[in-house]
Amino acid sequence: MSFGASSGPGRRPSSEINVTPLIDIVLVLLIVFMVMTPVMLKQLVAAVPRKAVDERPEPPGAAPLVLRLDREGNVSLSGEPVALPGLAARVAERLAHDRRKLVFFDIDDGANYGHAVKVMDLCKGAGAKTLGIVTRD
Amino acid sequence: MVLVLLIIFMVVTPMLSKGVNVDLPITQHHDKRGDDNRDIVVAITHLGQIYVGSTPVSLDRLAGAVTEERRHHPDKAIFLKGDTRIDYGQARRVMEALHRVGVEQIQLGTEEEASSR
Repeated sequence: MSFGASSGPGRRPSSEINVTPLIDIVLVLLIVFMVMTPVMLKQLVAAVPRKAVDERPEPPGAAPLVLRLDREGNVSLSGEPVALPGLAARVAERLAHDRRKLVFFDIDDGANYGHAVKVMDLCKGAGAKTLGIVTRD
Repeated sequence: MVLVLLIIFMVVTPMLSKGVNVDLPITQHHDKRGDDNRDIVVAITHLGQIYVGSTPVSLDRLAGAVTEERRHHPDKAIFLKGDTRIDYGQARRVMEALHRVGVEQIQLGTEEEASSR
């Protein structure tokens, strides 16, 4: 419409804003946002681990490794207290003879969840394949 | 028309990532996996509010909500996003509620430590 008016010979100069560059920029922004939306959604969950939590009853025979965490954050391994820095080495040592690589966690309700996950992570780093949660029912 | 679309995307993008905002525990020895949209996400915020997907549920209703979801998609795994500040007891009650409705494996969501990259 406006093109017709301005392109005619000998007419007054066009007083309308040239919107073409504006549309260019807006389209680019639109495409950027459209591309980013799924990417951002993905990042939310992409860096997350898969951890097995299962509550099978303890199998008879070999005593499984039970890690206890109390509300102050103290860790004990099958009854004996262990300092957090030496935990990974102790767990690795105990798991070396365990074919199932199974560690049970008995964690106090008052313990911090972040701390509990950190301890699970340490055990996983020490070679545990299955992390079991002890229930109280 | 294009401007309207642009504004919609600009507004929706931050909202999408907000959804349910939890500070996940930071770990080093986790398995990595892309988001294939095949999980039922159960989130516990630092206030103790439980969400299935983005709908808030109470602890009593959690089992029902997850059972319902699993009936539609029986192959979906459970992905638990617990805030790092909550007590373990809150997470345990959620895990036990899930276990009672037949969930055998739960994946715990964690954040990668920034320095480990």
